[in-house]
Amino acid sequence: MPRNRLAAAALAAVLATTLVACGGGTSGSASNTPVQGGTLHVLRATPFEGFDLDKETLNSTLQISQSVIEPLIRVGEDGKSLAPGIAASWSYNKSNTALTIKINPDAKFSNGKPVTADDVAFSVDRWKAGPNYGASFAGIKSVQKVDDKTVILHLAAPDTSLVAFLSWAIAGVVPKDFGGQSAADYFKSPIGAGAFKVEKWSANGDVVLAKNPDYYQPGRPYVDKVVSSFASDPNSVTLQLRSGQADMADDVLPVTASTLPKGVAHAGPEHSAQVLVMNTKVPGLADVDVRRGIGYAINFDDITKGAFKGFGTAPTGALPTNLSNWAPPSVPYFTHDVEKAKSLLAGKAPKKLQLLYSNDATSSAEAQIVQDNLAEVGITVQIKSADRSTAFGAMASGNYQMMLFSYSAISPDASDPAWFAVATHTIFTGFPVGDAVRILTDYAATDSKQAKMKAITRLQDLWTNEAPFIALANTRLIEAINNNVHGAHVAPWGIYYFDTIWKK
Amino acid sequence: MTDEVTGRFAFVARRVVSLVPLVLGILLLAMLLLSLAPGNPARNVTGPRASQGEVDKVAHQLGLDQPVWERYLHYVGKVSTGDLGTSLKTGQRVSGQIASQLPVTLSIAVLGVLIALVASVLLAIAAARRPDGIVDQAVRLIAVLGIGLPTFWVAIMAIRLIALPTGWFPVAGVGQGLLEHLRSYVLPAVVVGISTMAPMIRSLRATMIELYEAEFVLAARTLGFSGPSLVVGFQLRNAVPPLITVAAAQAGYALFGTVVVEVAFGLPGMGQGLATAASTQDFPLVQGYVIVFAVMIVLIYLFTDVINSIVDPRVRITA
Repeated sequence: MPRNRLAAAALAAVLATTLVACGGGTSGSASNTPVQGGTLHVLRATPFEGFDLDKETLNSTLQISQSVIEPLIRVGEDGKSLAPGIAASWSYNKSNTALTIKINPDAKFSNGKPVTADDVAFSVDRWKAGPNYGASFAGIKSVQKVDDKTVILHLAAPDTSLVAFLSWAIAGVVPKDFGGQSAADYFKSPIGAGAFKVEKWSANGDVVLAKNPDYYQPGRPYVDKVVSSFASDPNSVTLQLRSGQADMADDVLPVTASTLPKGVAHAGPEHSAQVLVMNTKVPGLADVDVRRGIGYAINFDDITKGAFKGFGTAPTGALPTNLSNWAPPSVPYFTHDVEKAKSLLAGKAPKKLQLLYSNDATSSAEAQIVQDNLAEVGITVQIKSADRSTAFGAMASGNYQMMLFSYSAISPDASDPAWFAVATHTIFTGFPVGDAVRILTDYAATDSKQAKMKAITRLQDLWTNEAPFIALANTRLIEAINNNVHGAHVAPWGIYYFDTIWKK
Repeated sequence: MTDEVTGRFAFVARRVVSLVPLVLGILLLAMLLLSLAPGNPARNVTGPRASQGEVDKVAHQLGLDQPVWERYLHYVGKVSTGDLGTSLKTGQRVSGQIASQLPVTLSIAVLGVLIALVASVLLAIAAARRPDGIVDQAVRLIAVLGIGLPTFWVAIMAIRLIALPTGWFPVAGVGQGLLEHLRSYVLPAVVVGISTMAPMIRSLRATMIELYEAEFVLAARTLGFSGPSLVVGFQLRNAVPPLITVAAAQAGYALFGTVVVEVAFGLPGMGQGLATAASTQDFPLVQGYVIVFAVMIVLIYLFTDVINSIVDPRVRITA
């Protein structure tokens, strides 16, 4: 990276960090008593995907969905643990092959009907049938109804990871047989046991949620209404927050954060893994030395400061950080070492490579840095931008050479993003997944934290040694929260519950 | 019923009928272009974790594995029964989604063109009074700025300089109730007006100056007409037909210009909807928008022809 660009990036990083409150994603003072009432106005950066659980992929959609169709288990306020929700308690048998779940006796759907074991059994079948997330629940062999408020999930193999997956928004509890409706009709206007019920929604417009008076958590939700508006333009996000028209904004870009009033931008802990994925089916990138050489050519400081404006750190492994049972690799992860890169690439380096990225400001800066870095080791990189959907489509169909991508968890367990990488054929690089599946199966089979961390280290080693992708940074997700908003506990992956929030 | 009125009805009917093959052609072109776009809509629908087998299954269920012409015929068959299909992603009916966004887009576009019309008439009259005078120079500068300034920038400036400090208008979004709706549309409509009025000003100014030397205007002046009665009764009246034609072209531009304005003002209109549908490769939604936009554009030109025939006795439209 040219020196003047680096200097400007460093200055921007200093400015940005001075403007940002580092509250670990939590706003408000715990000593304040929550206030009932009011409307919470939230800006989302992406269109709403609807309530069809298996089709939900974007954070803003997951967040809205879980507040209506709440899953069995909640994520703790620390963002690293699991907490009771509709499932008042849960326990495994000795062999970790059966999970008993006790349903909260107060849990009711927003039509006033209680949540029963039959509803949970029906919901499990729905999750398993989903083409997107179904494989994550395929290990549930059967659901046994013990009584109206107790179920046992019988598992095909020991699986201690399952409880984390039961906190996913897509694992929402729906009424048995969708309350007599077709699936399509139900998802148009769903009834769930969450803190809110749906008043109206559209993909590009407002999603309006009203308080569910039958919610099982006493006193919650605090606000009467939540209005989530689509704001795709960063300028509009800044202006709406400044004017007080919006109370919060999700997934704020680092460049936008520096334009917000002091104390409004809250950066979570380092989490999301920004990665350079390499198509191992492309002749030049099939060689592990080439992939590792590219890893050592990356200047991680440039990436964190230039592209992420200081909202991230150099990676210490391939997996997103700040998750339960996370552990680093036993071998050193990639660092900027041009000589090592050159020696690995000697005689093997492809002269030209194409790098695809989705056309946002952060990815554009990242792509230019990678281009500069690889030029230093003799690889000419042609950078090509596309809209998010097109870029993703190209990656998923293997029609790319290198691409910038990011992945993160949606629950507090280190195996969660690891399974995502495996389910996507190690994020569409075509790298064989057999070893990773074996490691993650070992992880799921044990309830020992130490053994789980050992498994994660083995996985980190595999992905460091074979380098199907290079983690470029672990970034901090930024949530904008105006000063009148309290009680937002934002998980490291950027999702939070609306029902804990109150406004002054 | 006079021959003229009968002829006008026949003309309108014929134009409405000719709209069908035109829209079908536009739809075919849109579907061809969509089929050439990279990416896989079925993958977008199923999600990243789905296996290729699941993606192929969904593609088959949605008919995305059929050739374009087959999909086209199937879709045209459905449209002929009034069914625009459902969104691939949200499962909502396309017609319902467009119907909820149409009022937003139409309100901004119509208000914007009205603002542009009023402003251009006033400015062009002022400019034409003394060609090359200070006022004329200022109006020409306004017209140049109207063409040159990016709509997006004008929108941001309007928010920063008007909405934010005064609080008179919302910074973004549509409020609840009729009054709040109108309040939400004022600034976006002004921005659309600014971005569309320049050609109207230039056209009207030129016509007004030209007409000032016309024989019938000279005759009117010798008969004692002057001031507003001369300008409005003789010059403006005869300058209106070309203005209507320019305004129609600008109304079409305004419809598409709302894409930028809707994004800047966070308005849930068709422009923003089309942009999102295209970026997520939600084919049924994109096709629905194409049909509605095409019909609106054709109707604008039809309306223009009819209005022109009414205001200008020299224009005759017949079937």
